[in-house]
Amino acid sequence: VFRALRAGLRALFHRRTASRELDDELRHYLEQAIQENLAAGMTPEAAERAARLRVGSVEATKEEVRAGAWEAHVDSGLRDLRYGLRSLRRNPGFTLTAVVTLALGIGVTTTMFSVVNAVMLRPLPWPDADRVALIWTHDVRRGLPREGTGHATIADWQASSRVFQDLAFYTTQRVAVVETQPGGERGRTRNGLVSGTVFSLLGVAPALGRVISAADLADRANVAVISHGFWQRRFAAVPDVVGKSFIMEDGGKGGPRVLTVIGVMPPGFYFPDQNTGIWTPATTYWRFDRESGERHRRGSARLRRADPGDEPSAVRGQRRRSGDLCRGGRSARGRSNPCVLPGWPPGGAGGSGDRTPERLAASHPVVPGDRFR
Amino acid sequence: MPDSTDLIQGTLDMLILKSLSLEPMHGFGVTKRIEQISQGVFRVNPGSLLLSFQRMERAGLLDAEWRASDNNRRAKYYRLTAKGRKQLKLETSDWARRAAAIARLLEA
Repeated sequence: VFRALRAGLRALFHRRTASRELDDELRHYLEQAIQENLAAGMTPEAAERAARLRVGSVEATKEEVRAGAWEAHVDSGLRDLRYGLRSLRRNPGFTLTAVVTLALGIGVTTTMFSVVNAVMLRPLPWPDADRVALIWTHDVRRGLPREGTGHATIADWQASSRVFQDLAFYTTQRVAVVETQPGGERGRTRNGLVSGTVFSLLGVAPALGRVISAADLADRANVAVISHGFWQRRFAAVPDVVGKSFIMEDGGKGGPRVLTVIGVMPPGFYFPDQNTGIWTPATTYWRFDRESGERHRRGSARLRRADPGDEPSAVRGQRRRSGDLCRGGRSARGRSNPCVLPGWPPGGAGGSGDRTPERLAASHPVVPGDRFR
Repeated sequence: MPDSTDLIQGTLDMLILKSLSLEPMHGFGVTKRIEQISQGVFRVNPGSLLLSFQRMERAGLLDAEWRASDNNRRAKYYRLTAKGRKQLKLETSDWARRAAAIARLLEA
């Protein structure tokens, strides 16, 4: 087999040599035939005529021998390909149509798959994701549906909720991460400003160190939990990253802040989207004080976990009891007015092809009050 | 020249192997030998012959090399390999079996 392959490849790539060898062999054959006829006493002309008759057409014989080898199929395939390309060049209209049709077909299929994969196939990176709900409020006064919820309102609900096991809130902002010292190289990431309960609510433990605690929130500690990817990119995945620090610029009045790493999340974990590389205490947001007293004016999104056994209707009942905010507006599912959607993802609004939390970002989830896109 | 017949299907390889088992030869030599020994009953068409050479060379039954022939022309000489010898033995015994069977059938 190896021999046949080598001989075939040689015939393909050294076509001229192979052809000449075949020629030589045939010519020799012919000469021998003539010699024999001469030896038999024929005149030279008669000898050559008889020999040629006997051997037949040289070209036809060569073709016959060539066609018997496997590389002949490759050769004819290449010829067909060349012919096809020439035809395409001669008919640019047809070519353009075919190319555009293929491009559109492939593009649409790929996009559809990305969306379906993101929204329906891949599970969210935390356990019991179907028991986690995203809550938002409708800003009735300004006619803005699905807004974030004011911090004071969140506090009210934390105090009065009987339906949810736990409740957490978050927002995100775009920040610059500065290499080592101010003025160093800047990188971009998103900062998730979270309440201390987010990680326990999602049921995900850090791979290294600890997560943000209630004390961190109370102290407004300059600490950060970082994603696995951020750990790899920024800290080269060093095992002793806990306790190291980096500089973050969030546009706040206090200028760049030095944050100490307290924990690393496991690989695959992301919240609320894959662009969020760090999480810091919600209270460290520079406008937190100004906005923490706001009630429903700007809004924030909150997240809570339903108690096991709670039916969606109970969750909706809770929503009705929790106040006036749910009137007006439409849910993503097109029914009127549910501002609490049990389960995650919170409805069918289309994202930009990223995972479900992207949709959450599209619904302006924010915590203590302001909005970031 | 007496009437000649086409070779029986599938026997050309065997006849080539047999001819080459005596000494290395070029294409025309093999043709001639087959015609002589068969006393002109079988005639070999050069196309089939070269095709057969090509196939068996690739299968490792034959080795080929270019050398100067008797009259000092460049010619491709074919030689049996060990594998070719084995193949010849196999085909010979196979052929003997078949020929005997056919002979028995015809005599019955």
